[in-house]
Amino acid sequence: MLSRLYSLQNTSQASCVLILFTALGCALGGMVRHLITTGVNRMCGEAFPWGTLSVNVLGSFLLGVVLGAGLTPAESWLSLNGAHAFAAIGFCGGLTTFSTFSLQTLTLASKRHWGRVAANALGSLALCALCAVAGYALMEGLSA
Amino acid sequence: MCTLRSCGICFNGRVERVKQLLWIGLGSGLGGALRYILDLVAQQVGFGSFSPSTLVINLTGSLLIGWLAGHWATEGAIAPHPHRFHFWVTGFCGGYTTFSTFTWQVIELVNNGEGQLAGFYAAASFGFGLVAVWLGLSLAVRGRIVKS
Repeated sequence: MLSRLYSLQNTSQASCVLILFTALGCALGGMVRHLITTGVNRMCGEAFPWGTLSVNVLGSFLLGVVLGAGLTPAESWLSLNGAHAFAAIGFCGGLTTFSTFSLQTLTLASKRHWGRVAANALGSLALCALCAVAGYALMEGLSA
Repeated sequence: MCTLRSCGICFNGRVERVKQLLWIGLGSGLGGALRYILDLVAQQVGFGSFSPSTLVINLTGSLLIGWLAGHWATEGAIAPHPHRFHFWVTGFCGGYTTFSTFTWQVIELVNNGEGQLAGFYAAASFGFGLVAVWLGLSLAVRGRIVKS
């Protein structure tokens, strides 16, 4: 499988394979996102978008882990690009969502819960960035 | 919840939940593929080290989710089939847009010493994201009023 990917290097076929890998990872990520958000919302209630916050934080952490493990796009190694497309762009991208985050923030704003709007926006960014860096540092530390 | 396979009510509920999950997977897979294709196109065009494709993707996805929410929430609108909602909103919009890549771009900008640009990028994403959802909602609601 990997050697066949290697031979597809630099062709439009290669792009198609990478698109398929991304779609597969993203489909899995989206399903996991739905399971986690419904579970978290059931536990914590719907007053604050805890579900979306938790998938975004988890997805960012995993992206840090994936990139820290060295799965970055490399020009000469297509199997690595495949793994990056599946795990980083596909799974982590599908697990996290910006559209639902925006919609929920606007819903909070329309109810004039300004504190929650600020907490959601700044809290999401701060926690996601922190967890992504932590994931990256963790994997770098393990591989060093 | 009972675990009897012979229990018709619960078994149907489980089948329904699996179907729902598959629709979400399909939508999310298509959304993710489109995101990857747009990333490739942006790379071909060549924007240097900082590509605005994720910003464009997140904003158009927010516009779409706003339009869908408005389209299905206006009074007198026919409620969508639950699978349709899951396919488009949870699946497609959710898979198309991404928070993890956005976060990583902010981190990279800060890491490269471009803290100011990182701040602008985050503020623009959040601010214009809200505007995009609001615009989508208004477009859908206006469309409804014009039609009726």
